[in-house]
Amino acid sequence: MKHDAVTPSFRQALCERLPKLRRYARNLAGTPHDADDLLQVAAERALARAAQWDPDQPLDPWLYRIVRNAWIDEVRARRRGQALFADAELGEQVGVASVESHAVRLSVEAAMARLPEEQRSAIALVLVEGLAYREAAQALEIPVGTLTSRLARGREALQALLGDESGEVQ
Amino acid sequence: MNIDDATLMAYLDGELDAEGVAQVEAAKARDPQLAASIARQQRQDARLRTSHAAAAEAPIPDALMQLVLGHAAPAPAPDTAASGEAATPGNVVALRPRKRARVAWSHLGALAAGIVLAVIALPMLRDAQGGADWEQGADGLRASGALAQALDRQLASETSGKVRIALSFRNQAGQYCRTFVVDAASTAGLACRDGQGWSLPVLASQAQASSGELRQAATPLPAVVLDAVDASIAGDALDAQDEQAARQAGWR
Repeated sequence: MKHDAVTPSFRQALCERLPKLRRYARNLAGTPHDADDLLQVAAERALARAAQWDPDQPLDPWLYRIVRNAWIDEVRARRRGQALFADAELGEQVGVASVESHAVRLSVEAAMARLPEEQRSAIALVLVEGLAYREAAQALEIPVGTLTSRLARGREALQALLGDESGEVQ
Repeated sequence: MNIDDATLMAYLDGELDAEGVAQVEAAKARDPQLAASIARQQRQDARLRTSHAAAAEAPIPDALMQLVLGHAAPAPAPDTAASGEAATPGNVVALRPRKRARVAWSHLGALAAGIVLAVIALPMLRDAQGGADWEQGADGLRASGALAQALDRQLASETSGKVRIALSFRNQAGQYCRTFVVDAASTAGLACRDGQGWSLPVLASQAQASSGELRQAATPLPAVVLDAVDASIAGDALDAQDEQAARQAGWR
């Protein structure tokens, strides 16, 4: 029965969203490699659970939720197995002789990686993925008020970590 | 009127209706401090978006595309199909072993394929237990000691000792290459096998954790290493089987 829900249009819609889902996975998992693994698991789950998606509801929050839950399961599994897990911390880069945009990207990523996952997810879904508050709250399975307070705290923390180094005159 | 923080944030995120927007903008026009604070936050938000822009551009691994599009014959995980999103706490699904194609992740920018990146900030650190992990050869840095051993013997799935191998692949020159992390030295890099052993085209040092904040967890690969992989990889990364076979053959 579940296979009936995996229609060609569902497949197509999932396909189109893979790059963005991977970007969110990257924010969760920390490394590109782990993000790709996470994306793979999430895509398999989305296909397996297609019947649970209500076509009257937007697809994006549902998919982001699957990515996040897959990640939570993975973290739990790894912690249980005492395997290495870096809590997505990128560490600081030193001496990277590279172009400016590269340096900026690293520092933003490093700052993001320092946020607690709840705040990081709120920031990633609203600011990076562009979900509406309501959709992001759905994805995280929390009330909108909780989402906005996590978002506010995350923004504040980022500001503290990054300063105002946009290079523009204030 | 005063604009509270929640309203301000909703304004920044496009969550206000027209009336709300008008109120914030009126307040902004009257209050330079508010305007500056809004501008600052907008800059930060823009910076965040820019920094993530490239992340959605890299191609999706072919195998995953085939799976999603239903061209391959997937075997959906039977354990997860029925349990639903509200998985019970005990229902843990581990990530599958790394066997898919690893494709370009990073924005390649100006990196031309095959270009060897400069050696970065070679730490003066020498391993206390057993000699140097790299040395200066005639044509650049080469792995030695425990690092060379790990590169020869260790599979990516194994974590033993202080060296962790993250990824193995063939580069465009046909050499086997492996990325590695030496946790003790907070150092990561890319090693490629040639006739003499392992050359180290990229070696990157990460900042030591600030005092009192010893980093226990594994050090992830820095972007500079990943960029070098993306620039030099030919085809897909090796899966566990290929990797074993390559080890058997002495990485030739």
